[in-house]
This record gives sequence, structure tokens and C-alpha cells, in this order.
Amino acid sequence: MLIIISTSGGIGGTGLGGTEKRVETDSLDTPLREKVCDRFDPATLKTLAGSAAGLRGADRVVYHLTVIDGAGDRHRFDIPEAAMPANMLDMLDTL
Amino acid sequence: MCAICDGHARNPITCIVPPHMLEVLAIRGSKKTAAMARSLLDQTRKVRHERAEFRTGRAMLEEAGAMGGFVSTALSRAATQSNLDRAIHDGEGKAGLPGKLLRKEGDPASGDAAVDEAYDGAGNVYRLYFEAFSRDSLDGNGMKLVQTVHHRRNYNNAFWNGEQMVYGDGDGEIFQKFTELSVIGHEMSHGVVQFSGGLLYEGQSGALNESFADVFGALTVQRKLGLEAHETDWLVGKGILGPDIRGVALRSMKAPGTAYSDALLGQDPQPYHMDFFVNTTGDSGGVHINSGVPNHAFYLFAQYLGGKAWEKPGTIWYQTMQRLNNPVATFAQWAAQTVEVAIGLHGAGSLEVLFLKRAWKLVGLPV
Ligand SMILES: [Zn+2]
Repeated sequence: MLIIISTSGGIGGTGLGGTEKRVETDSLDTPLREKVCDRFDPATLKTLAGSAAGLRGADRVVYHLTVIDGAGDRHRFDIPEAAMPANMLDMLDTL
Repeated sequence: MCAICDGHARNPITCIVPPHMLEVLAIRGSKKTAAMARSLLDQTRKVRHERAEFRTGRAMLEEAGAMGGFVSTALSRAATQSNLDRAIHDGEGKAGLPGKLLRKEGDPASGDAAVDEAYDGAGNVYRLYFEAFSRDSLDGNGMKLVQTVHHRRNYNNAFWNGEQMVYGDGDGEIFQKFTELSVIGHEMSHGVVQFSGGLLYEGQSGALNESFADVFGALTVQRKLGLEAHETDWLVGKGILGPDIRGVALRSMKAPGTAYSDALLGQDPQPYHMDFFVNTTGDSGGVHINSGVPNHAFYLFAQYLGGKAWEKPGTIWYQTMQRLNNPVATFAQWAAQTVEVAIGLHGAGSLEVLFLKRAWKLVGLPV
């Protein structure tokens, strides 16, 4: 599974900066790979994206995630960081 | 057919409530009403599934009595007693909020620069609102100022989450810090907007929300340094960019579009005039982009008038926010409200009103 991560929004309107991040899950160690594959499963992300309406606050970042699964299918999601659980954000910081 | 009702238990009330009204209820309703509105918005989204339209946030108003019974308590009740109460937490590089409490009200300096800047900065912002506008904290009712520093790892952002302020440390390359005074003032002012009736965080109302935060962030710095309009640089986020970034700040109210021009960060996209208004779906409809227009109008007005910008111009902007009562306001509606407030304060034939109208006209928003 390949995960392509980019961001937009934030206080500068420029996202978190930097180029898009690409994570090839096959290159991760087994325990982390399993956690990442579970957390970034397209069905899970779809549920997360669907719960993102009416969020509070300002200057929040939006994550743009593209997941290419084992069959080669692309799944694209735009998910506000405010809709993501803290442990998912911590995981994103380690990738 | 109402999208919300499709496939769900029919409720005649929810059936006739269009999404834009739900957005307002999510801001202004009681906790229960707001939760219902958010739930219905979620359902609307699910019906419209596969559409990738997500927003970075929603300004929310805390309960103000019955549904639809919003009153700006901050305007109706002038604060006479200071209830400054700060709590600074250490996020310890993680995303969980608020993190470990490091410094509370009255504690001595912690020795951690970000903690102490957040503590001192919040004091400066509190005093601006309390001493200049008789407002007791973000909610006008002595709300505790909770801030978290060292949020996440190499995090290039600061934000208001609807309940507290949060600051990353930056990655040292694009950004080197976020606990700069105008940024602290900016984030806290998002809280003031939220508790003043709110401005939907999208399109022109979102850009007005952003502009209000920039204006009062800049005014916090000016007031702390005792600078008059002609003596200050009108920069927001001065000095927070990385050492090799070609730029001076996040935004310039004096010259929108000139704050930075860099290979990594790109070109500052802010317009200074409606002729250059940017139509985009990104950045919640360009909230951090088109805020350049009302930002520049405030700058022009303050320059024409001279003196301390947090006094007459700041009071007009602050009272406009309190009286607006329109969470989906356009730039033109905001401009008209500032003129109405200025007429009430200074008279229709006053120099203040003349200069204010001139400022709005110069950015392409004649009133
Ligand atoms: Zn902002």
C-alpha cells in the first residue's frame, strides 16, 4: 500500500509546508506496518472524512490523503486534522 | 427532496432546515442544538458522499440561551473586574490536548521560552481587550486562557480549536516559532469572534474572521510597544519564518502580497483590492488570502486618522464584531456595519466617518 500525504490550510494558508510525503508501507517494520495499514485503511478513512462537518476552530490544517491499495486502486480523502484522533496525528508525525 | 431526510427518520423540522442554516445553528445553538446541527450536517455530507469538500474549522458560539436567542454579552456587559487566568501546557511533541500543565496564573517564569512567551503574550492580549474594550477574556465572562505549546513534532502551525490556543515549534526551516505576540493575539481573537456570534470559516465571512484576528493581533503588538499607526510595520507573524526563507512575516496589512516570496513557501497571495479578489476552493475559500482586503482597509483608516490604532479604529472594528449579528457576512456588509458604528460613535459628518469611507473605497468596497 502506498500513502501520499499533503496538507493545506493552517495559519498561513500554506498547509504544514514541504513537499508531499510518500509512505510505502512495505518498507515499514512489521508492527508499524500493521498499525499504519489499519489506520489508513480506505474504509476507515472514509468514515473519518464523513465525520468532518461542522468542526470548530480556526487555522486548522486539512490533510489530503491518497491511498493506493494492493490492487492498484486509488482512494482520495480530504480530512481536517481536527477530525483525526491524536494517536493518528502522532503516527503521521513519525512517518 | 431534502437530502438530510433521505434514508433517515423523517423529522419535519430537520427536513426544512437547509445546510446553511445548520451551519449557523452549529455556531449559535445551545450545546444540544449545535450537536444536532453537526450531526445533520454529517448526514448531509454522507448523502453527498464522495465529494471532497472539507473545511478547516467552524467558529462556534457557546450557549447563549435558547436557540436563536443570541445576545453578545460582551457588548451588553462592560467588564469592571479583571479575571485574567492563564494556563500554559506542554504538548511534549504529541498531538493530545491540552498536555502537561507547566505554568498557571501567578506562577514565576518557567524558563521554557515558548511557555513564557505564551503566558506573557496572553496577558498582553487579555489587557488589550479588557482595558481598551472592557471585555473580560475571550467569552466576555472571564474564560480561562488555556494554551498548549510544543504541539506535535516539527509542527508548522498555530491554531484555535474552539476551546484553546495551540502552538507548534515549527520545523526550523520554514517556520522557527509560533509564540510571537501577533500570532498569540491572532489565535485568541479567533476565540473573541467565536464568542461574539461567529463568522463562518469559509469564503468572505471566513476571510473577515481571519482579518479580525490579524487586526487585533497587530493591535496587541502596537499597544504593547506604544506605537502609533505611522510608527508600526503592520506585519503579522513577524520573525516567525525560517532563517533562510525570503520574507519578513506571514502577512502585511500595509502591503498585502509582499510579506514573502520564497521557493519553499511560494509568493504571498494576498490581494489589497477587490479587483484582485481570489476565487478558490482551497484554504476554505481563500480565508487567509482575501483577508488582505479588509486588512488593508483597516490599515488605511488607521493611517488617515493617525494616533493609536487600537483606540478609535480598534473600537470601531471591535464594536462592529459585537453588533454584526451575521455569521455569513460579506465584506460589503462588514464595511457597511463599520460605517454605521462609526456614525454612532463620532457622527455622520465626522472626519472619522469620512476617512473610514475613503479607506473602504480605496480597497474597492465603497459604502
Ligand atoms: Zn487565523
